[in-house]
Amino acid sequence: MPRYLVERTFGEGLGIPTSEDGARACLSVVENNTQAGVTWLHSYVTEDRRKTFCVYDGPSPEAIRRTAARNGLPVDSITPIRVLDPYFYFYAA
Amino acid sequence: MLVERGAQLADLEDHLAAAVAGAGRLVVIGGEAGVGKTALVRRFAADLEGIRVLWAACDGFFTPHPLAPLDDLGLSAEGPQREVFAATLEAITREPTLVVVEDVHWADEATLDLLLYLSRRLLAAPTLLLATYRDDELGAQHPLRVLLAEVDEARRIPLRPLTVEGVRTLAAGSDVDTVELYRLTGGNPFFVTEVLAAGGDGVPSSIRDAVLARADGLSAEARVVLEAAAVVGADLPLLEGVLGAKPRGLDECLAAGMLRRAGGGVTFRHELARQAVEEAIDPVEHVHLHARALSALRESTDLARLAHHAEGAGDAEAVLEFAPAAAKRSSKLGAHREAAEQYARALRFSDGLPATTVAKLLESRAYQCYLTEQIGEAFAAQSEALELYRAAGDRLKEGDMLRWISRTAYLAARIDDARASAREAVTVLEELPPGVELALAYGHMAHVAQMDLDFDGAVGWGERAIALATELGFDTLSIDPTISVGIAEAIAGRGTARLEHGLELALDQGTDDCVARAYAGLGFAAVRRRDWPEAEHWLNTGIRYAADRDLDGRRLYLLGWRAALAVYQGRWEEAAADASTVLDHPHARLSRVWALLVLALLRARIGDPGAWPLLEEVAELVRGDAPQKIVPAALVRAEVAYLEGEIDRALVELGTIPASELLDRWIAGSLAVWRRRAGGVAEETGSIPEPFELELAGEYAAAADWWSAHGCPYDAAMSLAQSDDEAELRRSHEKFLALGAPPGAAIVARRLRELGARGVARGPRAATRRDPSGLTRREREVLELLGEGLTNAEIASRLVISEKTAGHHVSSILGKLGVRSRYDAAKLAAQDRELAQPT
Repeated sequence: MPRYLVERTFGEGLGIPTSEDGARACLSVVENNTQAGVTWLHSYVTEDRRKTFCVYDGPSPEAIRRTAARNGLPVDSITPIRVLDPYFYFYAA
Repeated sequence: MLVERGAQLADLEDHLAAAVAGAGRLVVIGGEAGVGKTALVRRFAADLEGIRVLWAACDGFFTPHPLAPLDDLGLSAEGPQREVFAATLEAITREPTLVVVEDVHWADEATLDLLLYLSRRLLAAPTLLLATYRDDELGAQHPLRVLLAEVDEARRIPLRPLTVEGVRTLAAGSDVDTVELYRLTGGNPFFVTEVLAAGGDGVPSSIRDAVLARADGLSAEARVVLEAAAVVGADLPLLEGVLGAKPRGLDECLAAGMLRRAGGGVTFRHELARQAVEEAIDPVEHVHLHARALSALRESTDLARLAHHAEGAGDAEAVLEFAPAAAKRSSKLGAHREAAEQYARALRFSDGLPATTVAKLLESRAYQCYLTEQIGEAFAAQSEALELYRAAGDRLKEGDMLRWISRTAYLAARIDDARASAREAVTVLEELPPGVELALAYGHMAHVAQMDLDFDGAVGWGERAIALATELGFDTLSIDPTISVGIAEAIAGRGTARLEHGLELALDQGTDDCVARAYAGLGFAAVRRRDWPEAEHWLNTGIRYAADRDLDGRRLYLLGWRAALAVYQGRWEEAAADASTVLDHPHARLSRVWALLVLALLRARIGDPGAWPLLEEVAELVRGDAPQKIVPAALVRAEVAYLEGEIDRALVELGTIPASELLDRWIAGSLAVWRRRAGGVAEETGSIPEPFELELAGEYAAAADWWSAHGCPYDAAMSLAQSDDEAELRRSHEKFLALGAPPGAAIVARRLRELGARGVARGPRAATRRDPSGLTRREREVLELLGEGLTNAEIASRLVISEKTAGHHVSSILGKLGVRSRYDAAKLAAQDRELAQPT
């Protein structure tokens, strides 16, 4: 299953309250994703909350976009990625 | 007892409640053999009140007779298939009902078609259709996959083996080592209970050993009964016919739990047990049992069973009597896979038959294999038959077989072989007095020519076929060639009159497949011309026609073209939805090329990854196709390269065919324009449609206006992008951004900066679309219908999409509008409408 980096820009800034509503919102995102075979791994958010970089596993870019639409999230770009960490070359050598 | 199945029972209760409330559905229960699917559904059904329960099962025992489950349901399988299916639907939906069909991995093809038909039409019925199957026995090509592809995640109930705890519960009261038992059995409930029942010493290493260990405990008389039951099946009268009335030992088998009473007979606790016993029967005894079953069954009409026992008994005469008859019957009822197997069985016993008889059997088997996409087998059988007819000097059959071999070769993408065989068929048949076979051979040549985009060939051969058919007085034989010629004319830009006439003929007297072919031709000719109203009319009518008749292949082909339509119009989400539907379907071979091209183009245009892998697959699929046919793929490859900034590669991808040589003037125009865009030299094109002429003449704004006026916003942006005028380039940049096409926008932005222009936006704007809420056109349509209070099923019907897709649109709308329910969304829509009213 390919891994993708999804960039999003939120005009008004992303707002997920740290409350029960916020938790429910996140879980409903997960629920919608499961139906399309998409897994949200985690996201990075800028300080001003206007941009996020989200790591997803999914079958295709179309599935990512479909669940984004269902969850009301914008998509700027989708880039296929692989994991690389500092010790990757060390162990390979 | 039922262990660790609480969650699944709850799921089933939810599904039943929803169905009874008016949302009927198919739910599938999958799991390995022995995991307890039957136990689960029996327990579920046992406690139901006020619900009618109907049971049916598919047999793995032998090649099944077609639509066997209908016997279980007390319904008739006679008559035209559509009527049988419609009657079945009516029967199971007239009151709240639970229908259980077990072991559908063994279902014959007609039964699978029936399940597909029912599952697509249960939307508003108070009926829950439950199907169980062995999910570990499905190869990649298993026909059941087609049905499963249409079943949503939420309607699948997988059953897993028990945990150690579960095994412990089952083993309570015995002194067996639970952990060891779990390790041995993997938690498989049937295996566990067999081991527990066998008791005693020695730990069996497999289900088979466990069952045989139990059987060892029986007396010799009981053993005889058990073995007979394993070969003969559940039918008590038949068992008595083989063993004599009231066989001794039967009661012992029942008491020991090896057999149990069911329906009108006795059966094993599980198919696995029956299989284990049967495999251990002495071979000679096995043959005798089959022979005795055969003579006991002589009066029966169950041809498939008779053929089965005939083979088991090694009785060639009986096999040759019953197997072909069973095949004919299966074919008539639409169970073509089973028919193919019965013919194969007859062929296994065909030594000593005259050559032409064997050839006929091969021919019949090949036809059944052809219908079920077993192309390799069809080809092999046809080739063998051809040799036999040749050796017997039967020129008529030889010619006909060559035509069939050509059709099969085409499906196997062996295009050169297909052309050669088609020609040879005509050569052979023209030596004989003209007849039906020759008319069919001419018609097939017309079809081949049409697929090769050989216009003159298609018209020439087609008109000969039509003339001969008329002369012979077989008007229906002229329908297919009329459609071939019609498609050729439409592609060549000579209008669609002949094709529309062909459609009328086909609707009147032709096959469903002919009609669908005509709709497809009209649809894609209109898409090529960028005539959107016509294209939408033909494609949607065709899709509805194919859907009503479960003509999946044709429906998927039409969906591929509807996806192309959406891409031209810049409606990316609709395009992705239709293209994905085609590509997700396990059997969509011929339609794949278009869907792959559309998806590749879509990904490249909106800047998503993964265009080239799709194009590689296309290259594989079109290998050997006529050069003219490869041009559309080359155009997509060129655009993808261009959007990646690889201008030189784009030019190479376009190939060397001169535009003037192409039959399809729209493709010719595209080719000429892309060559220019990629920096190629000017060429003589012959007459091409207006927007291409304008762009080649350097009138970019005029070209863009033509595209815009005809609903092609992306082409408009791309034409303007070729200009050197700053104002025109800015317009192009705006258009690309508004369409959500960052790669195109980036190319234009680069050009603008090279020209020294200032203030060019660098990246995509934060989510500005034409629609204030960001809804696509399709979603606006769905929202309107939501406002009218339509259900998802009704919306799906209205827009000619699947219920699943309608559901996705509704979810997407709720997400974009930020509301929780469809009623809130409808309210918002109503408010929007009010605001939009002119004051």
